[in-house]
Amino acid sequence: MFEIVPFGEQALILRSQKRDRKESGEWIRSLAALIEADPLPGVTDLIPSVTELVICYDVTQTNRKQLEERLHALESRIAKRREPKSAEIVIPICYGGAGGPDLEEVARRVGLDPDEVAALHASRVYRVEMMGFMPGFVYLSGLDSTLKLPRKGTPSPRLAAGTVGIAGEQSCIYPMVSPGGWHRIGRTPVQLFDPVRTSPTLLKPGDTVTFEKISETELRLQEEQLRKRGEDAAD
Amino acid sequence: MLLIERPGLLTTVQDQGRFGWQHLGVVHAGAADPFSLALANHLVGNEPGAAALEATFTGPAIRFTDQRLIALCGAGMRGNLNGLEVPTFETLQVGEGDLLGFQPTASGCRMVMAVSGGIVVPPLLGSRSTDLRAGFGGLEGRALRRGDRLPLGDQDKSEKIRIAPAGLIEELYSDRPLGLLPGPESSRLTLAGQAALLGTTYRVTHQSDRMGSRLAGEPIRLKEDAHEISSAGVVTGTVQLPADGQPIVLLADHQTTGGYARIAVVAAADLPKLAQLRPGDEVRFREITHKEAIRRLKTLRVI
Repeated sequence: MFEIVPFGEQALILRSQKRDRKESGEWIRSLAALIEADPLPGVTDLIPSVTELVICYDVTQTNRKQLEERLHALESRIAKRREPKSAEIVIPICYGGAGGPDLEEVARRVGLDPDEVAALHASRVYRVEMMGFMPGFVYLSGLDSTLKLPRKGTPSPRLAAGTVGIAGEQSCIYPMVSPGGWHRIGRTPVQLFDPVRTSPTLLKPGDTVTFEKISETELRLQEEQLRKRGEDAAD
Repeated sequence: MLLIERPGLLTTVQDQGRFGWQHLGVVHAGAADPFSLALANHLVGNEPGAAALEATFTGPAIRFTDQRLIALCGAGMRGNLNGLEVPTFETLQVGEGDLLGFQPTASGCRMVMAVSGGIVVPPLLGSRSTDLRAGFGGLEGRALRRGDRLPLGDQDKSEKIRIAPAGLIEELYSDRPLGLLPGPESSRLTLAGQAALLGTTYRVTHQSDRMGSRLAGEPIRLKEDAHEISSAGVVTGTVQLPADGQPIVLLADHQTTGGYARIAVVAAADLPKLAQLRPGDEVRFREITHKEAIRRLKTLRVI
């Protein structure tokens, strides 16, 4: 069912042996959920991706052999378990304009109108396959294959916080300002990462995401509301 | 309280780092050399994970407002109290009004300064470490500035003076090649690639920071030039190999996932040396066994 490979002396990797990417991701996330629900002593971090689960551990509390035994013992439980019910989040997005400066170029390259690109993007149900790159950054699977484009050869030096991007078969959302190679098609006013909250990210691996189109006026309104709420909270 | 009269080049509040949030993309951060941090804390009677300051190249000038124990562990600079040089790796006593300063030395670059009671800025996500890239944690998520004031916790009043065992310092920083364990993609190394990695000398470039050290030297070739992987988790010490064949060694602020082949992992016991690499420094690697890596790691943790 899985292969275990050491990763230095303080981590190991569980490799999914499922061929299908979607199945592999689901299996990895199910396993991660199982470990989270029933923590293994000494495990300090889990880093799920589509084909792997990196498990970091404290060598003073456990060792590789003990962990491997415990993980193999979980195998039979995974077979019976389905991926746990995840949250379904709707993300408001203003397509194009200042927040999505690459929308027209994307449209040109795939041979559609910008509005058609926006509609196609918003028509899909996405899954948070994994998170990484920065806190709250999500890799979303489920992008319509019509919109498939390679990442930019030269990354944009500055993507605004809330930028929604597409590249390859994925969509993404940038929680904070950053350079990046994804095509910027729109912007969301929602905050994806807040270290002060008990649950610091809006999204988690396995969550379902849909996008809801809003106007530029609405974008500004929502940003203003969120800013005010943030100021009130700080007082 | 610590009064920062001069901030130094890059001085940040760090503890042992953030555990348990990497699945959400939150980096571990923490002291680049966690062993020096634990040792410095031990020398002042703190818990190993108490928050301290990590100074880089040019150290800060710090005024103390009450009696404390402090300890300096690391390299790259010499400390002085009110102008008089003080030893590193030893408990030092400071009093109200005392001024701690630093002068850079010719080798190494990071020094940890622990204070009895620890630095008690508010913890976020379980840690007081500064996440510079995401801009949170430590003191307002940033490097220290002139005029900053850092609150200190209650100290254990035993005032015991300790000296780190000489053997331990040797263990931390002796001149030696860095130990490598296999990485998940080490089977992609060509024979020539392996020979380059384990048999030649690399140089630390200026593109090095708390996220990682970029090395330059003999390009390392992979079978079928397979430099990319589907984004996957990485750990501190991971040696990544991008298409140019020049290795990158990851440090405390590394991103949680990466898309480059992971061809090796530096032994955790060699993190202290990694944390002291400066641009221009030479680096060599050698293979070690898992058993040796664990043994050396446990030696460093026995404080």
